[in-house]
Amino acid sequence: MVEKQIAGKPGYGTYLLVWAALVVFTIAAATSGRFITEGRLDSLPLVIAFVKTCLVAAIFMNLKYERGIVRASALFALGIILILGLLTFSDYGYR
Amino acid sequence: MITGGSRINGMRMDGIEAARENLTAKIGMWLFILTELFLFVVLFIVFLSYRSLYGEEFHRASMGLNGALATANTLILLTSSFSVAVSVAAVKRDNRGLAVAAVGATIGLALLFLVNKYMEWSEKIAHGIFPGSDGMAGLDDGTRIFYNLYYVMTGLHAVHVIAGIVLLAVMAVLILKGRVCGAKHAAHENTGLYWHMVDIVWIYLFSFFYLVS
Repeated sequence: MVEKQIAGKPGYGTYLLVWAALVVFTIAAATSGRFITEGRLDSLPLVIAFVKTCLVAAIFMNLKYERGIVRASALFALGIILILGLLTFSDYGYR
Repeated sequence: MITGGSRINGMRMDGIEAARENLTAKIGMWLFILTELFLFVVLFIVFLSYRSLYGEEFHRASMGLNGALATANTLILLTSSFSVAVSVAAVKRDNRGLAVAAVGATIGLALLFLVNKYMEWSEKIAHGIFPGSDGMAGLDDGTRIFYNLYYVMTGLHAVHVIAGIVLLAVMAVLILKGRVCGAKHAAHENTGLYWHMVDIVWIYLFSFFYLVS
């Protein structure tokens, strides 16, 4: 760890690890998405995108370390978007 | 009673005020992010609706985009998210030098993203594929809709990147002047949240336009 965590916030080392994971996920999505042209794995890049979003929101946006009303506001915002996305995709999936 | 001594239970009142400001500003920022995401979600729904109608055309048009450049741009934006997160953490630790350096790196990466985007658009425009062009008029409906959405959505995202660059530049000045610091960091933290939102939107633009076949 480059620096100790302060008041529950992540240290620079945590950010570096998350960035490395995001890079790996991006390369995995870029290489898989171009070659998988049919079947259920077609949506693999979107699954990877969702995992990347969770990492960015939890660590870079500090949601994992927020408490109380800030976390509630953030989860409310992201939850509504998630519900909209799920409704759209469930409709899209049955077409 | 609170007087000019500005102390209550051993805490300085300006500290309490700053903490309250940080809290309310952050809540407001998350609600703002919600409205921004709505803007893009609506466009993604439009994209999916047309994709269900013109799946084959969308797939062919997607294969015509520059995937390598888009992958590079994704890595650039993710790295900029990392650097802005470092800058926010540095501000909270009152490490002004690192904070400004990280903001500078973020601005540099954002400009690089825009240069790549300009190159990508130029490639398409050189082939006569842009809204209102004769080249676009000659395309089938599905491909034309794909490219219209491509220009609208990536263009709208680029506008957000430009706004982010301006905000980050302002933050760099405020940090240097000491007006954004460990005790009063809400403005910079919110700028960071905005930048991460821009990054998240791009993650999905990248997936929808370049990856999902």
